[in-house]
Formats: sequence, structure tokens, C-alpha cells
Amino acid sequence: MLVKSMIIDIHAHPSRDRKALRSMLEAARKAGIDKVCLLPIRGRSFERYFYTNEEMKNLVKEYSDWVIGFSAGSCIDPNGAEDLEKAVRDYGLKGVKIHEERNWVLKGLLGCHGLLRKAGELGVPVIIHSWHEEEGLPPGSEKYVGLQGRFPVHIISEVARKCPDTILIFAHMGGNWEKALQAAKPHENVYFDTCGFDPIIGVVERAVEVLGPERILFGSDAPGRSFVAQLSKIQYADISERDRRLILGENAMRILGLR
Amino acid sequence: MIVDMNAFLGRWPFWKLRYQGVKNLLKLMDRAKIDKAVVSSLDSVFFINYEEGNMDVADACRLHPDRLIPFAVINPNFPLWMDHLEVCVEEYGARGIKLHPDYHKYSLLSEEAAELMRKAKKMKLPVFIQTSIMDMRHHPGYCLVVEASILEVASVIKRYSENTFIIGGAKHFGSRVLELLGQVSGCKNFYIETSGIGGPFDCIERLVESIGSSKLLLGTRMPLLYPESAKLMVEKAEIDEEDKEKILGGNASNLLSI
Repeated sequence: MLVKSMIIDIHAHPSRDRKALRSMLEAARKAGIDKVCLLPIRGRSFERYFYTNEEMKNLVKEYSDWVIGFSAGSCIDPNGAEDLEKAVRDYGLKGVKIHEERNWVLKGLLGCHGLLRKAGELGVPVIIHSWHEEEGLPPGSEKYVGLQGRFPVHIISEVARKCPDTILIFAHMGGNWEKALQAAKPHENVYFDTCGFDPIIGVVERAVEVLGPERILFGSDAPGRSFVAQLSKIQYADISERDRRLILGENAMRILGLR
Repeated sequence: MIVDMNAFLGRWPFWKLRYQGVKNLLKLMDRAKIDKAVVSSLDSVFFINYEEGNMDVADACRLHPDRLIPFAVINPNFPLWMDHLEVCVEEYGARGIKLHPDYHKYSLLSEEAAELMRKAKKMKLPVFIQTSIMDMRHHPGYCLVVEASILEVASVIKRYSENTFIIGGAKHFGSRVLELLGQVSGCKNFYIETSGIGGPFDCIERLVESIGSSKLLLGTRMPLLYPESAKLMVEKAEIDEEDKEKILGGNASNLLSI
């Protein structure tokens, strides 16, 4: 069941508390993870995970064997594309993370902000936070599922269509995975990461059935989640060993241009 | 001995379970090297007549008495629940009570709940309060189920100091546990079941440091979740072997006298 091959965590967050960050990276190593992609986040509630591009470059230099650095992008900032180009060309960062911001969905994603197209030109992936949406939720439900975090899955297909040359990785299996997988099916540039939700039996299996193993990437969402628990979703999924290796690390190596 | 305090038999209404039924549950247990499991009914959560699920769990446990231990789901909103509880204990061999106040829509502070706690105390049965089974966001839009209030759970623990409680949950349960612990310091009559503790990355270490390993019970919520996930979180935690042994089965063995 357990496969020995390169394991790359496509989705973890760098704490600004350096001692906590070190502990997290050591825990990742102990769990068998070879490299961790550190995704800084922009946004008001996430200062504890924000790093500038220069800071990320220095972090990658400090932990060169362990980490792969991403840029914290904004798809509503008019300088987003320019910042990304600098992040990749000058600072050597390997991708960009987009998280929730005010009006990000309508203005940024659906408007196919320049940052998304720039990522395609540069050949780096965009990881997009995507969490739950269910149309027709009863009144008052936003108190529990959160209005800001709602992510209607039709966005997946619309953005994929508008930015066909960009690798788009929707985090957390797109939220409502059954609908997200179907929305993504026709779009070869859409991928999902497996991070953040409970280790529910059948989700990874379903993703492989619908999309094939090449478009699924292991992620943990650490430090908020356990590496061991998140890895178990792939290590114990009822899939072939080849599929397991692809999801655990080979897909990430291909997308990130690693050897 | 490894004991899982929270496994299920029955159906999940929102997607097909890949490991459904008692044979598949035992298959998962064997694969994860889990010796015994406390089992309750998912059908009892969703069926109008919840008693039917308890009957099915009893049948399964009778066939595998060395592996499966029944807990009875009780819905104190349903008429004659007390009679059914007695049947569950005397005829079905239930060793504890399982409560789902979120789906069954009652307050843990209601008069019926109070009567249930008194009965549980008299019958010397631990009461497992499941504040939620699955993140409410993994439910379809027609079925938004708000998790049970952790503050009500805290009140119940404090109010019924001679009862024994096991507390389990799903969405953000780690945060709920911290909230709970802030309310019940000094109380000794509760355990935390671990299947809902999904993070942070060092959550087991932090919990052991905070409340000690004697208060933790391994739970997996199989076959909804991979059982290896919760088990490995304990086995790979940076805690003493003695603490691991307690969480993985020692505490459950003492609690249930197995």
C-alpha cells in the first residue's frame, strides 16, 4: 500500500513564526514528505502567512532542500501580472497562490485577470482557493458556511475556458468535489489538490475515475492540518501504485518543472 | 489491543460508501490492524424510526462479538425512547449511548435530555455525544445540519458530573475541543474521541500536553473516513509509547471493561 517515491506537498503555508515554520517542516520530513510548496497568502485575516516575494526567495534559499516557494498573488490588484513576472524571473518562485479577497471571484477570476494569463506565459501554475458552494442553500446558512468562502463550481469551467494556457490548480478538490470534478472534466488545464478536507474514503478514487490521476496533486494545508492524516488519503486510496506515485509527487514535479 | 471508539454501520445518504456493511467494516479493521470497534448505526441517524438501525447493529455485533461492540443511538425526541434504550441494553447488549443532537434536533439541555442523562447514570452507560458526523459543507443544499453546540456539551459535562461522556465531532472539531476545554477545566468525567482532530500538524502532541493521554480515545469514523488516518496520527505523534498505548486502546479497554 505505501509507495516509496518522491512526495511533494503542493499546498502548505509558511508561518511568519520561524520556530513554528521549522517545526512544521520537520514534521513534514518525518511524515515522509520530500518537499513542501510554501504558499503565502494575501488578505486581511492571513498576515501570519504572508511573505513578500523577496522574503520567499530568502526562505527558499535557507531551506533549499525542503521547500519550493510560491508568490502570494492577487487577481484584483492591477499590478498582479507585473508582480508575478518579477516573482518568477527575479526571485525564482515557482507558482502563485490566489486566496479569497473582496470581489475576487467576479472581478478577478471571471474577468480573467492579467495575472492568470501571465502565469500561463511564464509556465507556472496558479493555485486557487476554492471551498464550498451549494446552490440553493437555505436562508441563514451563510452564518455557517460563510459567504466569502462560497465558490460556485461553474467558475472552474469559465476560468479554464478563458485561460486555456494556464495551469489552474483548484485547492481542496474544488470544494464540492462531485460537481467540481465534473466541471473540470473537459478542461485539461484544470487540476485539483487534495488538501484540507477530512480523509473521506472515496474522494481521491472518484477524482481518478473522473479526471485520471495526472490532474490530482497531493497537498496538506499545513500547518492547519496533519501531514499524516492528509497523506493517508492518497496512501490508502483504492488506486494503482502508479496512480499513487503520480498524485504524491510526479505530477507536481512535472508541473513545477523539477527534475 | 487497538480499539476504535467510533465506527459506523449503515448508509450515508449523500454518497455511496465504498466499504458498506459488516464484512467491509471488518475488512477495514483488518487492514488497519484494529482489534475491536465500537459501532453505532448511521441508519439510526437518518431513518425516521431510528430503532431499526440499532437492531441491525445488534445483529452484526452478535455475529462478531469478539470484534464489534454496540452503542445504541437514542433519539429522546422519539416516543418511548426509554423503553427502546432498555431493549438495546438488555437484548442487544449495547454498552453505551450515542447521541446525535444535530440531526435529531434537540437541545442537550432539554428536559428529555436530562431524563436520558439520569437514565444513563442509573444504567452506568457512557454517553457519546457526536456534535457532528461530517462537515456540514459536505452536505447537499437541502440538508444543512448545524452542529451541536459545544457550549451545551460543556454544560452537560458540568451538570452531570457522575455521568461519563465521550465527545466527538467533525468540522473544525479541534477548535471546538479547545473551546470545550476552556469551559470544563476541573471536570474529570469526559473523554475526547480523536477522529475529528484533523489539525494542526502537531495536534495530538498538543492535546496530550494539555489534558493528558488518559482523556483521549482513538476513533476513526470508518467507513466514512480511512481508519489508518486517525490511527497513524497517534502512532506517529511525538509522544511517549505509554501515551500511545492508552489512546489507541488502553483507555477504551478500561472504560468498557474489555
